[in-house]
Amino acid sequence: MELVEFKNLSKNFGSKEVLKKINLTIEKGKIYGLLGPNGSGKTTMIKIINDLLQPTSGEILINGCEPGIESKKIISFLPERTYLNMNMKVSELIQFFKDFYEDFDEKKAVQLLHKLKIKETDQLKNMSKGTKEKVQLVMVMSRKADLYILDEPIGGVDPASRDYILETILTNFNDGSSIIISTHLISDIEKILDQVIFINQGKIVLNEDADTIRKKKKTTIDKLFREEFKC
Amino acid sequence: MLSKLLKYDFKSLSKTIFPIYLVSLLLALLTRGVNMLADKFNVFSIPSGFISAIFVIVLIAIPIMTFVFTILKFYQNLIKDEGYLMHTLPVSKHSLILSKTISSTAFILLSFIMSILFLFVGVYGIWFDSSLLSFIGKLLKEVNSVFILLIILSTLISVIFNQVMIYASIALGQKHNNKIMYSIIYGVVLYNVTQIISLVILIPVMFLDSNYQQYINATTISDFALINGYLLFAFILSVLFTVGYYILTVKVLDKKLNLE
Repeated sequence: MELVEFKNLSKNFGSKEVLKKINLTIEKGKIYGLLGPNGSGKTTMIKIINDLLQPTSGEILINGCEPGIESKKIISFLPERTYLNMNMKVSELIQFFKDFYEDFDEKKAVQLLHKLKIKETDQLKNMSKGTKEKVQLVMVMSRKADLYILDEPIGGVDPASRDYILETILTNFNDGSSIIISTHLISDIEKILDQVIFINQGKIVLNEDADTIRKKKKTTIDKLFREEFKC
Repeated sequence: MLSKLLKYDFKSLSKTIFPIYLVSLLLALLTRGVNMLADKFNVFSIPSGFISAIFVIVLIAIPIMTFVFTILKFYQNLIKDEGYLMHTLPVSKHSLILSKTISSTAFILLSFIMSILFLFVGVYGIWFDSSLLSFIGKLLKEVNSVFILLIILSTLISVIFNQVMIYASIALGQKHNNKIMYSIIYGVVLYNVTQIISLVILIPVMFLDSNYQQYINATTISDFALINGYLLFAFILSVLFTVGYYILTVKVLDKKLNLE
């Protein structure tokens, strides 16, 4: 069944057309890689799913409804920036997520944070950028959501932590849930993808099963991406 | 969900504003102390004048600073990076804005009260003279009670109105690339629109009122009770503007949110 449907959706910023008549379906139970060069429209698509931007024309449906309170209950979103209130402690942030998301698993969050050697008493403003990103990821992955949307989840962390983060993502998402991962670091994530979506200049240029791509093109997704988007 | 939002908004504002109260209280005590010394020793008269001047400026600044902080919090929390979290919470835009309006108004009013309280501390110290309290009581008895009630309600609605008008300006401004500049432009536009509409409505009412000249010449506080009708009219007008700008803010952030 379709979880997200883009129907002929376009988005303009002033006179610039950032998304051009996108038609796309996100199904349940799959990990999607939303891949494209800078400015291709990845983050704009993600923001539209999360109701942070409105389409100029066309339609977006989540579980058959327009984005709103109900869609926010089932989507766990990690933006590409730090969205935390820096005056909070980790314990306050945990309480915040517990207060607003019924599907938030406090135990799991504490467990994951301890593994990363982050204490509940730690103040967010005293953390490095990478640690803040890890805290955010832990919060997002500690929800039992139907759809996880991760915009550049490994962009700000050191290569040594990337495997741990990918493992965290893989081992903590619900069976039957879907994940959309947007990133430039394709080689790091390609092994976990079920479906690959290439987007360029606001258009979907490829939407195919990851294994099929590897078999048909006899190459890795990373190499295919480099060929497709060669400057 | 509103109660949960209120909990976090009150907490967040108190972390910024309570330290200001603490510093102001210390300054009030210092002012009182130095003034007492100046009464006994001449050498303290210059520092006493200097500290008293700073104290008065701080007292005036407390509600103004609170107002500025509440607007900054609104902008940071809903339009800047924190907006990515706040707008993806499963809560209505109405709850988000109402929580901000209630918490901000409460803190601005509290700051007014604290300013007056610190003034008494600075002038009289911690122990108030009972004759002062009886003087205030006597004054309140002499003034028309409807007038007092209308003044309190007008102050309350004017605080809420100013907040919500700026929220509406920010909501309209965030649709553009240069969010701050456009928010200021919309602020100026909405302010002037409000003033013009109010004048257009109030002026004919004034001309039609045969007692108007009497109000202009009012000299004593009891005469001002005559103005109650106008105060009530202005109050209702302010309520209508506040509701209008509130609905505008909710609608724009719901249908035209632009977190680029």
